[in-house]
Amino acid sequence: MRLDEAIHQHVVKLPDYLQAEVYDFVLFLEQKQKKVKPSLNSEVIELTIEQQGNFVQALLNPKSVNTKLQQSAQNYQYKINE
Amino acid sequence: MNKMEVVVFNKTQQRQQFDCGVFELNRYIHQQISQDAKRKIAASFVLLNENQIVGFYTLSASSVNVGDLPTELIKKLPKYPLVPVALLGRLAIDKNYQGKGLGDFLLMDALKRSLVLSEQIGLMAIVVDAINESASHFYQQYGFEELTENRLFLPIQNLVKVFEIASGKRL
Repeated sequence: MRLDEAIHQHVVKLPDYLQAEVYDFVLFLEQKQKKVKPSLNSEVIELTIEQQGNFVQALLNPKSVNTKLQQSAQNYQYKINE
Repeated sequence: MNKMEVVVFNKTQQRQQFDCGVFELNRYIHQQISQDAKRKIAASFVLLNENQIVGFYTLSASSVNVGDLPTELIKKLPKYPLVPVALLGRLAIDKNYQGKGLGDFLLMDALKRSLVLSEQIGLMAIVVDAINESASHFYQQYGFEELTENRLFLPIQNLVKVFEIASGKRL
């Protein structure tokens, strides 16, 4: 199963506001990936795919993780890795 | 603005133009930050645009009374009167750079730094003193809970999983 299909399968089970957060974040990562230098592409794409998967996992269990905190930490980690 | 980088404060960085809109925080960075750094009262970290400070935060070691913590948390702790915490004393962004997510970025930097420090010295939580209601609301969005009036806290344990996920570690 492709990653986007796997994400979609999980995301549709979430409340609307969390679905929006997931799609916003995935879009953010896709846009960032397009700006990545070629030499870093494979490493960054691999990382972000894993980040996407983990982020969805975290959102699937929102009681255990503050979603705002999680998304900010993702963005922070991405920026310092840029 | 180029790549965002948070570095340790030093006196060569430009700070006299810094204006976050809060008198106490402006006064701190203009007059006090250097003294606190020199005397090791607080470690200060700054966000630079070229050599101009556009944001900063301070960290210090501190402690809180166990009795001030929520009951559910007290049950999990040994019966010590005080527990060690990291105090995020101040966090501010220059007015010209507000609304760009830099406060969020600086807060994450402070949380990540505290998490890393907690592996070297006991830190059970991060505590912040919110300067006003707006600041308090800002921190509560990230899961900070009220401890006492104007003081909020976030257990370090909550950050472990968050930054593991963020760094792409498999869960």
